[in-house]
Amino acid sequence: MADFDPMKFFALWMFTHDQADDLMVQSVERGSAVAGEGMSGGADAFTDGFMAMVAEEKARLKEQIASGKLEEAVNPQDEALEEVRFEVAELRAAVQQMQTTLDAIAAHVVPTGA
Amino acid sequence: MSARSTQITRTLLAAGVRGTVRSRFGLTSASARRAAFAAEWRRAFETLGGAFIKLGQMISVRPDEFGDELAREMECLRDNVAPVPFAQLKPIIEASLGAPISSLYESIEEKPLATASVAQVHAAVLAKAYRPVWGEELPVGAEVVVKVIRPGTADALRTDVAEARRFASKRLVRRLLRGIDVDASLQEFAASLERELDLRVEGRVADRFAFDFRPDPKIVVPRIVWTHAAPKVLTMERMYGWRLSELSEAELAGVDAHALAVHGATAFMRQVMLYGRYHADLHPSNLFVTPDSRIAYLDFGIVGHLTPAERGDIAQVLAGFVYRDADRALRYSADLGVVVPPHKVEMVRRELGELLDKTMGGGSTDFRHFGFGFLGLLRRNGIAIPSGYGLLVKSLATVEGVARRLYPDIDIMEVARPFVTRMIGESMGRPDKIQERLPKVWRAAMRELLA
Repeated sequence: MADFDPMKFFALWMFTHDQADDLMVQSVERGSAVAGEGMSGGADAFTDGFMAMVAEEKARLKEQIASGKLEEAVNPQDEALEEVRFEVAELRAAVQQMQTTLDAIAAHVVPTGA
Repeated sequence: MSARSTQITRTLLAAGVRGTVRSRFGLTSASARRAAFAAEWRRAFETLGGAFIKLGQMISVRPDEFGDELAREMECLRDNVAPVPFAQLKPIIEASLGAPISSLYESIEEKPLATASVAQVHAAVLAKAYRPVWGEELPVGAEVVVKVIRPGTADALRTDVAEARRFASKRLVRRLLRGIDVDASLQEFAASLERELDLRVEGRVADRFAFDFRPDPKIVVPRIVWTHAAPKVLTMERMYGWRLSELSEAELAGVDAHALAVHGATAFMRQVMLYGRYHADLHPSNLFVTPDSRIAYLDFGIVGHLTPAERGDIAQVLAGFVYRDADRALRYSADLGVVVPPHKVEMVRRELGELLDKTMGGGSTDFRHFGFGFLGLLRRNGIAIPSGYGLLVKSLATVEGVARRLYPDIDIMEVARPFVTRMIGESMGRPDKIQERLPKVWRAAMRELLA
């Protein structure tokens, strides 16, 4: 086996990066094509579309970093709290509706029709 | 035989005879024949009223089961019922809510705002403030609407369903309706009618929608007054604006129609793919555009429900449609119950690919044409279509139609593309997905490198 050549190793590493970068840029370009005009459709089209969206997200992130205003992630605990709040409110409404039914029965009013 | 039974038999037979004559005794093309019969069935349903109006509405959202022509025709069904005098509704309201009307509402209009075969709607003013399940409190004097089930409706509808079952059991009718699972459809119909006869079901769905859309200021759902609710009575916030079916060009000029159309379409996709509950009866009279350019949802009679797994599969199927990837669409459709027999896979894939290129490629898309074409393709190949799948395709086609009323040039697939792409991208980050996919990714990479 030939001796390890760091120059060749890094050259290969750089070449791989260049190739991958080129492919990524081409994928983003294809995915950014609007209304399917530039997009061929088929199995690879989704990957291109996805890469275009990742590129948009990257641009947004870059802008946020530059302006120092990073979006805060939604706290899952807040979401869970809201859900519980809603369930409690639903229960309150169900009890209120049952009270109405009880009142109706207590009023001894016989429904007409229906 | 009861008078109603005789009326149903006569009306349906007459429609059948007229359909036969209009289709020149079957000598016209199959599609012209189906269209002729569909028009006659629609007229017959309008004449019969009652449960037949509801049946027609159900058929209109199920092109998978009843065919495109009949579903389209039933969309034009008119609910021509005379209003019930308020004097007949007042005792129902008071008996249901256990109090005199004067203590419940500051005032109530005797002239109805809207009349339909099942319920009638009257404008009213709330006598006491009410804190709804979600959203701000409704103050004293808040404008509300009172929806009341029309007297005698429940019995009449149940009688009609029984008659429809009896009629459907006849051999001639079975032959005419071959290819349709009549018993299952009537079963589903009877269950949905029972749900509709209890207005509290609609109220609960409205509350859930209000909660789901809480971060979205552009979507509004009427708040329900549960102290004034019972199976036959539902009181809810009154919405002002224009029904989409009544929106004129002048009114459209005052709103950002494109933004509203895109927002409405995205809101529907969020219902399907994020919340798993969607308004499945989104015809233009169930949607309001408010003067401050918001979309108000009304009438939650038909609601579709989806499990988390189904939501993921639907996103994938939709991605297959959007990116014209027939393989992806068919693979995930199978998970939703659309199973193509192995010997037909190649043919269905080819036909689906052609349909996708014809309707979804080349710069402009037509989802309605595609969706109904796809259902027709499955039907022609004898592939069973689960009811939820058909309902969803129809709903998406309706959303496209509704959005186009607001903005005729909207491309619904352009709206769907970033949505489904992001959804699938986000699901990729789930640990269970990574665990499931990583070995396959590794194997594929090694295969490629070692090839």
